[in-house]
Amino acid sequence: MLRRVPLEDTAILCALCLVLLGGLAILGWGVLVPYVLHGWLIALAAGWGILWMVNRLADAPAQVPQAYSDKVIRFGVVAALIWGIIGFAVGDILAWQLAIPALNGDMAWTNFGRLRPVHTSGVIFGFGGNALIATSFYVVQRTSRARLASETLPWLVFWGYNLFLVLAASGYPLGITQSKEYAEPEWYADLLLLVVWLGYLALYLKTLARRAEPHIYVANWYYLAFIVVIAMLHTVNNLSVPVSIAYPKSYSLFAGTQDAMTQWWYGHNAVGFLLTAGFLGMLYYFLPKAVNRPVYSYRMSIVGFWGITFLYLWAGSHHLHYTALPDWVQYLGMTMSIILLVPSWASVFNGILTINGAWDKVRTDPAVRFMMVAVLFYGLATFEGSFMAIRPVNSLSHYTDWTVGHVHAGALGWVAFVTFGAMYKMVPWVWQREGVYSLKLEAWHFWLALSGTLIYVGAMWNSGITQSLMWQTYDADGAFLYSFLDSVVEMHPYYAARAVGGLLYLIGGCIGAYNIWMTVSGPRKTKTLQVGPIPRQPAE
Amino acid sequence: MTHDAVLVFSKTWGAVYLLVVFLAAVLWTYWPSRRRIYDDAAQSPLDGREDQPWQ
Amino acid sequence: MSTQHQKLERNSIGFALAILLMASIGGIVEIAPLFTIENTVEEVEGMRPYTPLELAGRDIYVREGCYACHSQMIRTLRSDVERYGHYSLAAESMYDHPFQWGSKRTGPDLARIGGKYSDAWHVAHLEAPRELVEGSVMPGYAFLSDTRLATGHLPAALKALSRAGVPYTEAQIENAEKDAVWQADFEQTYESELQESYGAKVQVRDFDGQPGRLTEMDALVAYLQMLGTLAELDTLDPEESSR
Repeated sequence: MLRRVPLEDTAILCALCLVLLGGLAILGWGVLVPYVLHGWLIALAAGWGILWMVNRLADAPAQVPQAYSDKVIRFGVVAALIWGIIGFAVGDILAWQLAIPALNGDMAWTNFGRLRPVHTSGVIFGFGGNALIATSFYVVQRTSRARLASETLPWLVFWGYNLFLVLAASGYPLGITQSKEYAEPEWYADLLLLVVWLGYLALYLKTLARRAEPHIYVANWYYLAFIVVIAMLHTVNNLSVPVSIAYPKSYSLFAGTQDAMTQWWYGHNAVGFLLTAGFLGMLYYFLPKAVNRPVYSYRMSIVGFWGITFLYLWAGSHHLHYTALPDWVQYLGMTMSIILLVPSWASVFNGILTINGAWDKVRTDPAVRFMMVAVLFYGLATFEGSFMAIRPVNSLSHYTDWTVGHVHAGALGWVAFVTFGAMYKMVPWVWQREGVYSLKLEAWHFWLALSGTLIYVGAMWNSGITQSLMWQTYDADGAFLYSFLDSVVEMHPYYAARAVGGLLYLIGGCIGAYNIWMTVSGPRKTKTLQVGPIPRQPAE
Repeated sequence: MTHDAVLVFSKTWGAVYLLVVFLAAVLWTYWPSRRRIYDDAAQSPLDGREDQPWQ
Repeated sequence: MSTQHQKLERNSIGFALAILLMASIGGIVEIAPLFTIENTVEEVEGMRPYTPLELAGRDIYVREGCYACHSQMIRTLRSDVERYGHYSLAAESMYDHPFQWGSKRTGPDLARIGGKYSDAWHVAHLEAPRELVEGSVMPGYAFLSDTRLATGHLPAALKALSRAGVPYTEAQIENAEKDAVWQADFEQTYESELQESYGAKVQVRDFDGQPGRLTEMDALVAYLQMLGTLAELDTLDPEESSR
């Protein structure tokens, strides 16, 4: 055991030194200001990490406490909330820009095109990613009944991941992007993420190896699939040739058709393994805990796991129907997308039936309500996704706002709802609080988020179908009845409604963050029954 | 490798492969003697043992 | 205890490998053949790598995130073909690192925008979209006209692309900076040199209406004006394109 600790520390120090050298190279050779600043940021962060590691090694290592590592989880929760608010807010700004184009400001860094990836990366990787890292640390420790297998790796994973997010989100407004959707960060940020991610994988596997019993609880299966598959997707889709160390710019290794297929293999499975598998892991732990009932069918969750792990990776080509991608790949993608509905809905039924018998909690506990609605939206979004993958349907839906509505049904309704539900449960546990500060505010958050989502998705269904029909309507002579511009003008009310829906969601998110903040700053849970006056309870 | 050859291969062996993998996964999961493992696992987050690490 | 632990450890690594194995099959089956099946990218006359100025324009298109609202992929659907022109061929994006097919049409498709409008229209429209097109929701890009085009990195950019498989010659890489300046030269002094190097369809002129100044607007308009103009679609073998 003693021999293995220095090995881990050596590996971490080597990785940090590599990152430091990378940062120094960038700030030394870089010629563009934002890029040089990124070099400084990377070098400073890595330098700080090295000092911290050396300091730890110099001091005799303290006895590892026989308790769970919860501090890093608390940091993860806070980071997820901060990125969530940023991501929701930028998203709503973008929505208002489409409704009122003057809001673009017509400056480089305020325009829609540069801000949009700040929104997508902010919510997917900032909010979703941090929430997954935090909850996965929580779940893997509890279900393995083991402390995280390293005292340093969790922190390096957390800070490294958030450094990647800062590089990404600050780079886009300054024009640093490789324009592959949901994989916009440039090569140097991608390399950093790869290092961080391998650390995450190693930590997760080592912690699982410490578990008390041979069987690995199913939530960890999903988290592990999320970690493993994202590593694979990230590496392959970001293969690129940098112009030189002096520039942030790179050109993707693949071109045209091959690049398109690789990108949507990545893009669809970022949905499949970050936004689905990861959050199913969250659901399979926090929902049973919240309703105090075991998963309805544990074995169904396992069959569903292999179904999702196998099938999702085939479905990406449905993003490229009727394009220059060879037809055989398009049909294969469509077929697999339809079959994918089976394991997806297996999870839906499993979730709903797990709640069955504790329906009173749906009424009394907003966190359970969040998770129940999340499952319903997951069922809706997966059905819609399989439906939209059918070629004739896709000829109607693709390139329109319907796709945007579909994504947000999944992201707002499923991903964020299950996250908020899980957080309202986990926050009192990791901070050792009696309960959430205010159930009333929690309910307000729920209803604002639900109405915001419904307005958003409803507006986008309407606008998407209107767009598509206007693009495909002919007059009696076989000429187009509408110009493209007609369809743009027609979108205005829907875009305004969408922006309002997004605003409601943002307000809900802020209330949620406030509620969690008040929970955290409230009194600690009392360990044993106290004699004497009853301790002050948090207001409920 | 031509397009048609790939097509024929995938429509025959591909389908068989999918079916076999599916059956293997279902049999492995639902094999009666494995039932207890899964029932125990399903209860594991709820049995109150996870308050503290085991070692 | 420790042997049991080693078993558990092997267990979780094996499990991770099983996940990787199951998950990689789909990608291998769908992506790998795209590189090996010959007719994935059909042969079309006229395709050539981007000139340095067009490439610089394309890099601006990428930098500004134009793909978020504009596709460059005319599908085989009637409503796409009649609105935007001949459906896009795989070969037409064979030098696109990365591809810009897009996923959303908040604005119209741009795969064949080249030559449909004048340079002056593009400049005016990019600078203030709603003054030309009432009801447009596009942001304004007036800053492109005020920003000098950086050309210092172009040789390295062409070199990087050639490493990724784009057939740039040594001479083209070496002359990249000069070629970019020449292509936007309002006197069109070096038109024949550029056409000799990059083919007869290279458009040489001042694009941004500011003769003597090489701006980012020059590059972006040069890129837009060549989009979809290269492939000789009438020489296409109908058998080949009917996959």
